[in-house]
Amino acid sequence: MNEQYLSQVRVLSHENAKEASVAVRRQCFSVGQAIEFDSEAPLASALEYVLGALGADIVTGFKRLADRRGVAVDEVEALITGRLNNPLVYLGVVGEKGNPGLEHVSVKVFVSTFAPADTIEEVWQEVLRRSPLVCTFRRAVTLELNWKAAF
Amino acid sequence: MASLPLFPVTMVGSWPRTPALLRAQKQKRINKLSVDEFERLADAAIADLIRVQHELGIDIITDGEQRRDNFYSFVAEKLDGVRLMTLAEMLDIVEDKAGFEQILQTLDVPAYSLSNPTCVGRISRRRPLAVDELRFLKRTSDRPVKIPLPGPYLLTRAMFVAEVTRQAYPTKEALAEDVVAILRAEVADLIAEGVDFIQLDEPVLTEVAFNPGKTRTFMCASLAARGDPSEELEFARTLINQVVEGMSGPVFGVHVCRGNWSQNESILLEGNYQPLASCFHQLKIDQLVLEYATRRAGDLLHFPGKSLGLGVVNPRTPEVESVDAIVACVKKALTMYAPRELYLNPDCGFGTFSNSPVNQSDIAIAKMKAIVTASRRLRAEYEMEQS
Repeated sequence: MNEQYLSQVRVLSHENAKEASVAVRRQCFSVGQAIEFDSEAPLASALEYVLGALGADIVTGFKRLADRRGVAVDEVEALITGRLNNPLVYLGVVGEKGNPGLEHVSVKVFVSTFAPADTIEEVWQEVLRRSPLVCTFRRAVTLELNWKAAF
Repeated sequence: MASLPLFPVTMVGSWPRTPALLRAQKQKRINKLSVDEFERLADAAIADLIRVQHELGIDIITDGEQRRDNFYSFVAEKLDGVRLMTLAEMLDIVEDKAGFEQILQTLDVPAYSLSNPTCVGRISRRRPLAVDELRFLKRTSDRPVKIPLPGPYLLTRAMFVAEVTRQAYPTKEALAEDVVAILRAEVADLIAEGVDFIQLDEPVLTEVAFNPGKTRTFMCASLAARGDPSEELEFARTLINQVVEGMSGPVFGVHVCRGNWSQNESILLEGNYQPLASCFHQLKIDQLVLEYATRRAGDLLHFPGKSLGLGVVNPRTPEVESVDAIVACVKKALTMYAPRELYLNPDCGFGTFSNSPVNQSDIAIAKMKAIVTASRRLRAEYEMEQS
């Protein structure tokens, strides 16, 4: 294994079983439990962090690659929706079958730009080719990816 | 206003923008197009729309809100103390992120594309809100003209974002005092310029009445905390009456609808006007501009002493209502209202939010044509009866 390719975070439990602290480089952030069903819960769940990470990879990648090509893009925004196979297995509901993992993830990206659609499509394809998390998710779940121009 | 024929036809307000105008709107927002250049393009689009209305035979002309981003956010450009904040900016500060998310997904738009006029300081009129719109209409059309304005309750609810507004106004009631003063100054200016019809848009009233404590329906109402429904309606009534108190000349209308941002009727509000009846009765206005073209609006109610802007077509559907159906709808209303008391209009605008219009202009034209044809048929029948 080439060690320079490693990413590493340290994750600490809390007395509260619904929270973990993640230490990374010079920062620390809190994450909630795996899946959250309480809309009032104070922390984003681990699952929401995963989806957020995929979206962050895509929107930052889009801006970076568009800039590099000299394509003016004002805004990029992604809506990520993940569907679990069966969250009741995670909850331990007796008799539930399947697995609690992600089965399907859809990514809809909105791009505000005056650039021609085919230029944006080229950027988009490069984003998908070069995104670490898109390439990872593709191997694990059904991944649906779309973009549309929106002012 | 010059005397109108029976069953005058008008639009509620908005009309789909052309792709060129949408693009110009965006360029103006990011300072890539000057205000003057934008106004020139908007003038051309409005002149085209006025020509369409003339050709169709519409009696009271509007400018389709072509200069506006939407029916209320445009005030941010005209008022001091108000900043246009995108939903993307506001997601950081508002508590109910899930409520906003639901609206974004229904509209299928990004958070950066929706803007709210947010009060960030003491508010005052930097320039009139709609006098420029009126002047252009009067220069371009010799027919009576209507100016829609965001109502005082809508503006107060939308502009009061506690997290940033409290530095200037401790409560939404305090903000409302200045909102009323601004709208009164605007109405006085519009009257001085010869406006024929002023329509105050108050769509949020239906959410207050039909949806207390449930899912938020209007983005513009998602911000200020909602109080008890009867207190909120009393608050709204007081503000509207304060705006029109002592004003005379034009027809004063109040427009209320149940949401006009999705073609999925099942997610829009439902219920007849009964919960609003007491509020409506006490409004010191001339006309209620109400939607009645969908079942969601329930049975027709009579509000004595006020004319009715009767919604006879659904602005969100691709199907064009038949002239017979429109005539039948009006005849039903004639069991409660005199012919002179009925104006005909769509339920709401065709392009409330500029970047997500609920219909295309060719369908909007066909629907307005159906209303005009129905009006002509009714006019022939009832003018003869009245003479």
